[in-house]
Amino acid sequence: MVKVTLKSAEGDVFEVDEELALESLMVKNMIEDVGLDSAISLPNVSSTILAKVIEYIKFHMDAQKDGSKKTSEEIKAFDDDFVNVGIPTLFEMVLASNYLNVKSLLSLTCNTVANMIKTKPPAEVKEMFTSAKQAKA
Amino acid sequence: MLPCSRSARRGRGQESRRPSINLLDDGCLVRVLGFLAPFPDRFNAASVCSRWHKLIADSRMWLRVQSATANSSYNSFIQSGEFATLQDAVNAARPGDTIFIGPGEVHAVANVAIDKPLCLMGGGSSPEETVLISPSGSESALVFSANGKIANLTIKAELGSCLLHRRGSLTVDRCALECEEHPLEYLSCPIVTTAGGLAAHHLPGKSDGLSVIETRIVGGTCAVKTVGSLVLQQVRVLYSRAAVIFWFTVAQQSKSASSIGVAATAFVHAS
Repeated sequence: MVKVTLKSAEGDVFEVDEELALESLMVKNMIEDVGLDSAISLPNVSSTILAKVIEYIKFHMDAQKDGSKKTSEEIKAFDDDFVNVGIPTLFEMVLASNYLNVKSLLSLTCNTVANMIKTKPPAEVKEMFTSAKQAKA
Repeated sequence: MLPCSRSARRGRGQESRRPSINLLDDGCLVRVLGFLAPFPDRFNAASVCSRWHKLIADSRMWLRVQSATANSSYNSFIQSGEFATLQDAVNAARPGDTIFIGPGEVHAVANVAIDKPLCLMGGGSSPEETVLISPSGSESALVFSANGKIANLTIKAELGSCLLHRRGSLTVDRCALECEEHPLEYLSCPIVTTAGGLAAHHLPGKSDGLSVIETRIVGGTCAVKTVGSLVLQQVRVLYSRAAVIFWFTVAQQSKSASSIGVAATAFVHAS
């Protein structure tokens, strides 16, 4: 199996299967342009977030494989658990999945943010997303 | 606009991670807002801040009606909201959505029932660029039974009406409605409204009505036929060399006048 080396913002190196890396359209384009010889540097993605993105793609690739015993409930439970993180991490995951162009993860994270906004009055939404910033200022 | 967003993203230390949603770039935020139901969530989100207000009006949120050949120039996100026929787009739309109808094409429509509040909009720089044609055999091109708005469209009916207005408040803004020449032309009417009548009593406080703004109307026996209890009023007509352009409203005259079957017909002949 061919390996692809991804380099996060901090310079940490992640070695992943080519099949997995191709799930990111951005990485796929990079591989087509520069080939597999050098590490692909991702200056907009931190190590923690990149690890999470890889974890997500890996789970879903395994789940799609023939002979996988994962039910749709299990997949949903994984997704729910996956986005059950703090708001800052969630936003970073939105940005990372947009940057890396991973459609399924982008939909999942954007939908999660949308669910937070849903049914809340505007003032509450504003407060929810800016409270920490104001406290700092 | 919010200068914090870019610098916050570049900062890599823990302390610079402020949980502000405005750290997301426009593309991401449009995606997030796209997941909200247009009404009431997206409507509420528009009043959060000026940036959101601007993004809510973003065209990436619209549903599009476009034939398959014109797809390639759009990115994949837009394709998710793209439909081949108006009926498909209406079926998929959520209340409050805007449907953008691609210019430079002729779309066939027949009795497209619009039962949720929608805005249908033609994409051209003039109504003539986007044409909806209803073949003979269908009663009406579009049938409205909810609040709605149509703008910048040409609707042609071979026989029958261009718009059938059952209930709700409908606005026709800068459109062209044409009933084509036909031996049975006396049966067609560009706009037919059956609003009012019995149904009006079910929803107190909600008034049915139709308002037509700067719209060219051609053909048929009369520009608008009212079969319900609504009355044509505030008519203004501009006779220009090329076309006759109408402004009018059809509304309840007064509460006591809502008896059934007061058929008022406006004999406003075009040309």
